[in-house]
Amino acid sequence: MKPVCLVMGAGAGIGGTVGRRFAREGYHACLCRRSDLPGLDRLVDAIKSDGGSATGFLINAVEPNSIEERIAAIEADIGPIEVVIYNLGAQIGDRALKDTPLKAFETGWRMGTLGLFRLASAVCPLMEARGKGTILVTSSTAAMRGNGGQHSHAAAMGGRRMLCQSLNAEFSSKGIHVAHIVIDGAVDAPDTLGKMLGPERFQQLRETRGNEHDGLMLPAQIAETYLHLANQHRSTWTHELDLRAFSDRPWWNH
Amino acid sequence: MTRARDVALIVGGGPGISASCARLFAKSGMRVGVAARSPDKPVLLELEKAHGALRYACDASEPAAVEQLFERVVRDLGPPTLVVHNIDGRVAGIFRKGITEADPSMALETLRNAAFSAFLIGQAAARHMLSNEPDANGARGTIIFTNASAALKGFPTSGAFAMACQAKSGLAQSMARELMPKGIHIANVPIDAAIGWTQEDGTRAHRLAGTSVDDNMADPDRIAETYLQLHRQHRSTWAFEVVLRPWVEKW
Repeated sequence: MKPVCLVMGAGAGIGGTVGRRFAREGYHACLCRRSDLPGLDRLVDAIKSDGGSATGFLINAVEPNSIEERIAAIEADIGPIEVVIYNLGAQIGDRALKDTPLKAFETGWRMGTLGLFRLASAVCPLMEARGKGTILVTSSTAAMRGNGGQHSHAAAMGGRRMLCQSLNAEFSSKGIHVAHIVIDGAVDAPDTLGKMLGPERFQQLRETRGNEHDGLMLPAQIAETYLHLANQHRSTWTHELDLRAFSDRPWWNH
Repeated sequence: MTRARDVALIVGGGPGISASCARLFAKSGMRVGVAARSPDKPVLLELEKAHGALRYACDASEPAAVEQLFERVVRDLGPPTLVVHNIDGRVAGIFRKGITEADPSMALETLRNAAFSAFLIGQAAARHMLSNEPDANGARGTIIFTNASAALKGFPTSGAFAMACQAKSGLAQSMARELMPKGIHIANVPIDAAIGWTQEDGTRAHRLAGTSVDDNMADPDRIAETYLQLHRQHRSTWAFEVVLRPWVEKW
């Protein structure tokens, strides 16, 4: 039975690419996302054509019990979850306070913070009983700094960062490696940045900053660092790590 | 991914991180040089014998000595593509001295050894790397600063070391801002733990903290793996600060 790498938020960017990378290492990738069944099938097919194994699930993570039931079913039907990639984003673009409805703020928190809490509540006891596990949490600039217009996103990601620290404090010595990964820049990801900008502006950005300029973060390269974190020996674990393109300005210089 | 012409220079040579890096980098196909004030330590002789690492005598807090070191490395091995500054820098008499009793000349010496040497090594490395051709990852080179818990928080009776470590952090940040857009990857790596290296009897131990039990001390062989991964990161995705600590470490 293969160990499972569970990806929450498996689009064509970081989530799906990291899942594919772990599948190449011998994990069974369980890819979860909210919508776009054809896109999900393409990811699963790509992994299978690499010679790996994967299963795709459409789930709405903000619904009660959706995460919990999925984890229980994967453990029962597929195998032990050794690695979790928590990759749900909550970016809604810059919005002034008056343009940030209560509902948007609450949904951001449900995906950014509460979802990770629910996932940890379900998976940590299993990992603790086995004495090992890895939870890699994708995060963002907003976890470090509340920029203008980022009320919902910054609160959700700041909460995510602190939750990662307290999870680490409780579970690190029980063999669970929790890492908070600050993605401090734009990612070359069609399902997130691409959708936020629209196809035309995304293509333009790729031409001016991406492609050969390497100014957009490449999911396949990010995946190499995720894999390294999961492979770190327990005598030397990294809890937090910042990643950005070489030409980009870090959050502390903005 | 490592190029045949990858040249690693490790400044500060001892049985811990330096030796582990030298071994791993050599095994990964790099040409390796190790610089230390006393290059005739047994551990460095062993690195030369087993891994072909070249040994260099250098006081890294002396500008002329650092300049000369890089000239010799370029001549012997080629222009460096990976430079690790791995100097602790504390003089024996500064350990556990309260602020009212610390000897000012020892504090200054600690700053010179740790922080000023980081400036000199970083400066020389940058000067040479800027004329390197970018590799397949788009990088002209990597400069890694080994740092310590004191880079994150000042501990009591450790003022001089806290100054030195935070100076190194500031230097690394500033260099990162200036040099990363020019293709040089800068990383600051605070090791937030005691480092237990493998002893002759196979145990891992730290001079003061005793023997490592159940991986409760950082293993320098594993630290070296993260250094190598940093060097291999693609320029679209560079990490700047990476804290390493054992799974059971309190922080």
